[in-house]
Amino acid sequence: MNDNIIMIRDASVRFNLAMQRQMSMKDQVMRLIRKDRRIQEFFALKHINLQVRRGESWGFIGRNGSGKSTLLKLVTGILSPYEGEVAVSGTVAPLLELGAGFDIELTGRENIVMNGLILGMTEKQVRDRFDDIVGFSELEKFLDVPVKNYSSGMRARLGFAVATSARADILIADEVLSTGDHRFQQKCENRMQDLLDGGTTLLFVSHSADAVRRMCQKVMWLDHGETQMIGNTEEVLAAYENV
Amino acid sequence: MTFADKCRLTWKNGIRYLPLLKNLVARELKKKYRQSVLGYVWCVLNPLLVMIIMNLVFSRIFHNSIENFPVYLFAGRMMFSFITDCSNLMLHSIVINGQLMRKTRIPYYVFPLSAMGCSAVNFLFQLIAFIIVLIFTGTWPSIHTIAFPLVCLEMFGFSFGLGLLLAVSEIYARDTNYLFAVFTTAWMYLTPLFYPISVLPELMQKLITWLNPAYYYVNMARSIFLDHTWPALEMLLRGGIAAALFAGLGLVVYSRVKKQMILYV
Repeated sequence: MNDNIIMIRDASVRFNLAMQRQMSMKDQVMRLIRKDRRIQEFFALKHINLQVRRGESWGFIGRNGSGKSTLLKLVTGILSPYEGEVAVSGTVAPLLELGAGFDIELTGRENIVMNGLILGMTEKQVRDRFDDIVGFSELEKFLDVPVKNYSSGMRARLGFAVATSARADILIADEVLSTGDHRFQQKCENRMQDLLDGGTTLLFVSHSADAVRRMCQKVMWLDHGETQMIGNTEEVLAAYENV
Repeated sequence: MTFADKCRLTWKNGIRYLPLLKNLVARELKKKYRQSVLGYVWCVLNPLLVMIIMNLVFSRIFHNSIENFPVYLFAGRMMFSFITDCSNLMLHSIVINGQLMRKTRIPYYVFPLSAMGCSAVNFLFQLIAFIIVLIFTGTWPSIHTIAFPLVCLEMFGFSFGLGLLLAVSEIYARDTNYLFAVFTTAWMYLTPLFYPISVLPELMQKLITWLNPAYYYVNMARSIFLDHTWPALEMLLRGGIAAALFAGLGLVVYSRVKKQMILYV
């Protein structure tokens, strides 16, 4: 009866800026003694509501620091909400940053295995999909080179190839296509389209309105951690571009 | 959720991330020896060479009071260096993987556990070196060796708890690693590794045999390999209590802070 794969109800994420600062032990002790609970609160997300149905593709737009990445981290489960509820009923393959999860000292081959395992694949699944990953990322010749010697484009290709081959219920792509060249972007979009056709749910962050227009059915526009607008791609993009 | 459900879930998760854990351990070992000619041979060679040097230096000083000095020294050093290496690796394990924690979804416990795994593998290499020392000194192991795994188990539990506490402390105050480095030096000199405990004043001897957990494990290893006796019961008890105490405390503290530590790493 409920095919909402992601359910976010009135969720807020709070960071404490005073805590985020690197504190030495002396500072901490002094603060405890003085009972100084100076809390500099900062709400990265305020009262967000979002329901995503299985198989939908959502775009997230907004200026830098508007909370897009924080929202995706909430869905991934990296952050938990300060208030409200987040319920995700499915596996998540996050691509939150170029080369996140890569160990640059290791070779491409070793990183494919490591990254696949981090994404929750079994060892057998990694072995079975290995050739596919290598084929898509076009890194056959560089498999035994440490990733630290890869270009950013190569890292993007490898990261994207591994994350999409995890075949998770939800694929999260945060501004990951901006590095690659045009041909690679095209290739990635085709792959995401294939996954969408196969029933995967996509959460997609991009500063390129065209890419969002091509990929997404629905769009959420965030501003300063609040929902500015939510709805069909055309409507929201039209409003966004008018600002 | 009932307790049984919780246990089952934990077990399932544990099994699921076992290959990742294995890979993380292999990664550290690979990175350490990738560019060297001798590679893993260093794991055995390094403790042997250090051992030979220490033996040359200290056997002159204490050659009257300690019988079979190489075994005395190595047995102690092997145990002590596991405790400090393991807790030191675990101390850094969470903070050093902050990037991974912030960008991928990964259960945090794999980091301290993989540090523990690395140290355990290193300990195995140390054991190989130790066997070489035993052969060269003609010290044949007795039946009492079967008690050694139990001693190791206690030591693992103690180091695990200590490392977990340090790792949590390091998240909140990055001074922990500097303090611990200083502490380790003091700890080394306060553990009779290359001197006999009898050279110390009586009060110090009492304090060390009661309050220095490293000494429990060092002492038991020596009983087994040097004196060919069973480990003293009071040492076995103290060692077990220290292990349970530290491991328990570490787990409690860790599980209390694990939800919020992402904000600090």
